[in-house]
Amino acid sequence: MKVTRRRFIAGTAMTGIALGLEPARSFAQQTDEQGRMYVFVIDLDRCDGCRKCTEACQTEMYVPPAWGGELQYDGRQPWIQVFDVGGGVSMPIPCQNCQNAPCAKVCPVGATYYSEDHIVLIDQNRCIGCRYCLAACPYQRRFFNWSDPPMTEQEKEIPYSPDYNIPHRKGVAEKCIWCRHRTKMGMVPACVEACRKAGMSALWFGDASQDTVSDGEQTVSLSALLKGRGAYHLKDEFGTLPSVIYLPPKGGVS
Amino acid sequence: MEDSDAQAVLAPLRWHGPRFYLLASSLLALVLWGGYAFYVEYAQGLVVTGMRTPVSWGLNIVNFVYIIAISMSGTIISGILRLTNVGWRTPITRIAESITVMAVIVGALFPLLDLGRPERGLNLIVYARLQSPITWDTIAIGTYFVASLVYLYLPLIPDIAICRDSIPEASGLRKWVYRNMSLGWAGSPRQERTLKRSIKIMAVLVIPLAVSVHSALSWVFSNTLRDAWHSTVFPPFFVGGAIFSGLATIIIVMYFFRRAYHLEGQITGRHFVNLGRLMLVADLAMIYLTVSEYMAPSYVGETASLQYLSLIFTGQYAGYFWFMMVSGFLVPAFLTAFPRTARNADWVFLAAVLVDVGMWLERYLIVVPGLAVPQLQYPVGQYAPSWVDVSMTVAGLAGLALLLLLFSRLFPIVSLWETKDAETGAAPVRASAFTRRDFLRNGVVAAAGLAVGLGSFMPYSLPGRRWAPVELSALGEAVPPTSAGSHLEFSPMLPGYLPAGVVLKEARVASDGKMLTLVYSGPIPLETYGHDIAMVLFQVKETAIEGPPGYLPSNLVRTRVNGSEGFAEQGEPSQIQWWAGGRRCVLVADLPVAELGKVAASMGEA
Repeated sequence: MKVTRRRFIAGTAMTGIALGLEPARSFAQQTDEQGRMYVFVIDLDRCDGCRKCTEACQTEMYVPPAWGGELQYDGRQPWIQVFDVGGGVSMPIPCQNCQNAPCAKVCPVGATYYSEDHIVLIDQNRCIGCRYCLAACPYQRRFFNWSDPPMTEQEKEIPYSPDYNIPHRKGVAEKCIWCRHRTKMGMVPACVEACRKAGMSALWFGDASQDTVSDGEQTVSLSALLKGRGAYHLKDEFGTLPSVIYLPPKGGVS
Repeated sequence: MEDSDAQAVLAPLRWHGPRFYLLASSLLALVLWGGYAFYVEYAQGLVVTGMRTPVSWGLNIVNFVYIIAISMSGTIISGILRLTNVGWRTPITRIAESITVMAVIVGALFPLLDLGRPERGLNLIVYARLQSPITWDTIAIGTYFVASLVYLYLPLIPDIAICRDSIPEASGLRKWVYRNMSLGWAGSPRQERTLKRSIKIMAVLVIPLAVSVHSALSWVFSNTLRDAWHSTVFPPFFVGGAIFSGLATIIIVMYFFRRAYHLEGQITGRHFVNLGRLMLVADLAMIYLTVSEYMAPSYVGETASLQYLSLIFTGQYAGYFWFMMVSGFLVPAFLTAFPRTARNADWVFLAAVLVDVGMWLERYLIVVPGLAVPQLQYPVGQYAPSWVDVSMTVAGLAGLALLLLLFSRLFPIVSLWETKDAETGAAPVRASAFTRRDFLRNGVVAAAGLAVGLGSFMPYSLPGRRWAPVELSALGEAVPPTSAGSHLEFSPMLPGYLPAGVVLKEARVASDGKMLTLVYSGPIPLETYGHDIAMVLFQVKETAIEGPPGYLPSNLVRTRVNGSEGFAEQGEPSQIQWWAGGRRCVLVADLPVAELGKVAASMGEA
């Protein structure tokens, strides 16, 4: 095909339009092909700050160590981290799974991407370790393996998949991926299960399009759970469209 | 140009003295050392650098931005002055153009050395994602590199022909290079016409390309949610900074070439005066842009912006900021504005050095504190460069100097054929020779200027001063040690043994009755707690955690205190932590761990 000036200009314009539409598309697609829209509900009224969620996460995902002055729990990366926010309130912060995720937006090689069910995943076979996602995430829920993490024999045996990012390795970014290997099988993430087993049921996971969330044992209506509770997203004003819903403590902060 | 002048320019190509070999080999040694540092980083991971979350970018990215910015010099001098047909430019265009190419080579290496997975660098092209500002950078820098290489090469062709014809003593390889790279240049009118037209086209092209490179670089930062970076003024801020440091770098490089190669006949005082004036304009523009950048956020006073601004205005990074403002921006502006100094090559050189230091700090202030400030209520991040970061920085600058040195030994560093056409004219100003008196006088002023900046810089850069001193009142109410138990939810324990010279100073009890702090004075003070505190012993009621964590970083060693589990760290200061009877005890002092162990073992109910 001969490239005429007219064709060249038209082609350039079309490319520009296509690029301009890209972010708009990620805003519009809120549900996947099956119509799923995963949500994570964190009931601050029920959380007593026991940190069993973080412990369960670290066991389930073989979470690599953290270093020096980094945010950490038990010397390891706190993918779901419980903060003492004062007044006896504890606040667990996992990956917010933004639907306009700054980390996915800036990745130069597409290693961070939305799975078909709209979980923000990371392909560590492609990640170049530029750490732009760490700089971009306003929730600081991105982590980095500064060196090769210590590995158990069991962990080494597992074949790698972006659905669980195990075995971990040096020089790549890490993140909480809402236990996609579990959710794919219809289970709730490890932290949700641990929270219920600890008798709190402060964490709920489910599908907003079906209006159901579960703590791993009982399934309840999402809208009933949220009703009258003043549910909010963490730093909504960032425009990141987070998928984690927080329920503030009842009766104010003591 | 006189024939003798041409001989002066060609002299460095003819004879390489012992000083050249000494300089080249020391620069090469520095580069190889940097290579070793990179090898260590590659083998062990980025853990050997000073970078940790949230400050996940450090000196490498600072150097990347800084050195790429230097590459602006070729465009500004050579491109703009060529298009506006400014006569005096001709002897220095070659220097400017070569700085551009070498700076792009060295600068573009830095982000690649900074990757967690450098072996996957090609993914930047194979899996390039056009929506990412880093990809814009890859494209912009790649294009700019090719364009500036062509732009360096085109005006070099007639000069390579001169080398081919008039350096008979060149080795066989160099002759081959000259013969092939001169592309059969004979200086015919037709050749000359074609060349001049091509150069003009390239001069037009490189200017927007350079602007695009520095803008794309700024978008890497400003296209994020970080308060310190999310600014619309960033692209002009970066372009202005690039012009500023580019001009300063030309002045520095041409000063050295002029002295080392005795090019006083070609590079005259006039060049320093004129470049000094251009640098003054860029300086004022930078002061203006800096004020614009910080004005609105400090006036509006958003929480996160204020956190960043207080960090650089009065906090941990204030030394860097005020050094940049005073010694990097204001002092050079005066030096290049007042006729007495502005008409003296040595003073202009000094101003240029200050500018380059200031601009490096400016990049540091953008990258490091920008990342340290969190967007949520997290602690402020810390960064201290490791030997790897520093080695790679030194190696990068040495590599830049080495490339320029080798280039100047292979090709004429002053454009011979262009200077031939141009009016050189007598220099209207004093082309200073550096007398001993000048040297002393300038040295004193330079030292004073640096001292002003360093004076504000030193308190913050002393080793160990990474944390603000802890106020003792923050630890709670001071009570007599014997009656501390009545304020607490647990019965306190006191050590029976104390190291030599260590004396109990006071006991403090937190308002909720859950923490007791025993503060001791002694011979070796703990910097964290002000002057006279030598040892601190915390006892905290702890119900959630009953022992040390399952995983410990390598600097912490598991230990036992009277049968209770804990861990110890040997360092400055050392610490022991252990869990006993529903409480956590932390003992900190700048003493050997064994000594702390003795104190811990002697603890008993008061």
